[in-house]
Amino acid sequence: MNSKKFNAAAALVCLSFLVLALFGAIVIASSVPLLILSTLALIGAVFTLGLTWRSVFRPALFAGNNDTRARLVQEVTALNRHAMVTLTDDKARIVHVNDKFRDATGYALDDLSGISMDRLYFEDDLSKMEDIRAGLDRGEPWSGETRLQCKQGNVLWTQATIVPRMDAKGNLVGSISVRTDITDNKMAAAQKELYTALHKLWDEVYMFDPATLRCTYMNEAALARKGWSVEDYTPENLATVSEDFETETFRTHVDTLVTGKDHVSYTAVIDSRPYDIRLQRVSPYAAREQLVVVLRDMSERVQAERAQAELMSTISHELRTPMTSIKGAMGLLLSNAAGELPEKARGMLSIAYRNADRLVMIINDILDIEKIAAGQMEFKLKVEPLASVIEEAVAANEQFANRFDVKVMKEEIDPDACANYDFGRTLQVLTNLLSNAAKFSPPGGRVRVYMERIGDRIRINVQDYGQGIAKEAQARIFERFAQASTTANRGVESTGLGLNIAKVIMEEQKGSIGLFSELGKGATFYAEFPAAVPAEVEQLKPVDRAV
Amino acid sequence: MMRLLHVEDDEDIREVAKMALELSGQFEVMQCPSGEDALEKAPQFKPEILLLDVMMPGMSGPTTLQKLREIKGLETTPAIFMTARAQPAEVEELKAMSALTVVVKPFDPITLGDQIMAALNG
Repeated sequence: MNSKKFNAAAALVCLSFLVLALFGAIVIASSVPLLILSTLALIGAVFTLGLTWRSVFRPALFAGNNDTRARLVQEVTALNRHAMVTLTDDKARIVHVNDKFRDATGYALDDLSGISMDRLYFEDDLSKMEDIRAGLDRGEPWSGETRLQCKQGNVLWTQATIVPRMDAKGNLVGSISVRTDITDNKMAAAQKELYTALHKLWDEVYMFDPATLRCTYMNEAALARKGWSVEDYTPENLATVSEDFETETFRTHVDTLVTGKDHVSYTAVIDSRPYDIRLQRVSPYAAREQLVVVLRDMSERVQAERAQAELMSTISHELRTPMTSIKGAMGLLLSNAAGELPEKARGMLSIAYRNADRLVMIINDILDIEKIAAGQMEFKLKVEPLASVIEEAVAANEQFANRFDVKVMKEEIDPDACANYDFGRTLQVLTNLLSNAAKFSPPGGRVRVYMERIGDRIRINVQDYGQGIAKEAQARIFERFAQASTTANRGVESTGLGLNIAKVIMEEQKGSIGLFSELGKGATFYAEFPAAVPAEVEQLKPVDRAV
Repeated sequence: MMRLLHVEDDEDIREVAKMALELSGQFEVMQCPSGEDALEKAPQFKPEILLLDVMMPGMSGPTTLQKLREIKGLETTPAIFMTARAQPAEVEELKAMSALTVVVKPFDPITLGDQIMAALNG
């Protein structure tokens, strides 16, 4: 649209409104809102037309006396000095802004002329502005806080009063807004809110000016570590805090923030206590950037972790000692070391012995789970043939399989297939799979163990011909305390932890575990490793915090 | 028959171990309930193999071994630890102390003798 024509048209509308409004103002001089309204209209008209006050008033637009006129002029001047004024048309397009508005927002007249007011609002606020406009449509003025987007992208908070402009028929022809800049107040309030919240945090919180690395704030916990009371919270003392942080580590981490990351964390020992330290850049309301430093004292947590590990170790020891006597004594009796036992006594003793075994297994499993959770399960990875661990697992499981009258058949084992694995832990996985297979096989049944190469991975399969595992149970079987079947395990020991541990062990070795099964047709569990070539160096690797 | 000195504070375990070791028929066993007691009896018994519990009140297994090593004739006597603390790191630490092997509790009484012989011959 031709902006001059548009301006002229808008000015005409303004003028007619102006006449009406001023007339109203004189008639009801005591009515303040109307007076403001008329004043605003006058300003609008003046600016839109690019006229001087003198030219407006010289033609004696109204027949008031000189005092009234002079007063109005003074009021308008005062208003313009005090507030930002904008005038829009019925489509919310800007037809006029005063100098104050331009100064505060940084826009030039050309930037604003004819554009929709919405362009200055934040997207989040647009629906609110719609509501306000709906009110204006009904002739209702609105007052409240609005945010404007300045030319530089920063936020300008304003206290605004928006009044509708109506034509003679009562149709909305636009609006006039008067705003004052409350950004500083708003930020001060936000800052205060933030400080109030920060002040009571358990963690130590400091704020720094990122440019000078001067400490500008510390919360109660931070004061407490320094042994300071609120009276000690002085600029001089804050300066000494800055010195506390002048370490190379701190500076290095601050430097990494400059490269665009908005936060960074590290651990450090301060006053001989372990701390987690987090540096965070914050720029409240796109204003001055600050560096927030949060210190979390980890000594209690570290201590608690140590205590827990200690407790687990103690329990393990305390339980294993009596188990040693119980199992040992029963084992000796069963071996007839104390003479031939009557068959019934031997039967009973076997039950006791098996369950003692089960108890030991539970203790071991719980310890494993604890170790995994604490990231303390160690893996001694070494590239070697998988055939050797399969051999060992089958041998170790032979007696157990015999008990269930199950024959374990080794088939298709490639003696050269190697993987990078921990022998002991992998033995544990295969033993678990083999004992499960034996447990769930029918008496006289067989269990097949065979190797498969799938791409660059080597899979060890353990297949049984038991009753299989239902589809719905398959998904959960590797979870903790999951047990597929409650009916067919023939009084067999199991903690429900074994497969979960096996899964973690396989994953820690970059392998995987899984199964195929169909009800009534048995199950095939597999442990799979990435194939490796020998001669890789042995390495020790603690488990990452998993599970 | 090899002379074996067994140091273990738990009386029940001593008894089970004694029976297990006798069962294998390869050892002449002397048992002591504490490290102190072992230090006293060892010079006379002249053990050819040492079987030591790790966690004992008073003198621990490793300390006992250290002191036994100071006795003439026992400087290089093969030693085996027994422990219920089967953390790999702890086992490694024990092995580093000139121990042949570490028997994890609960041990299998039927194979204990063979296990010890295997460690000696390994």
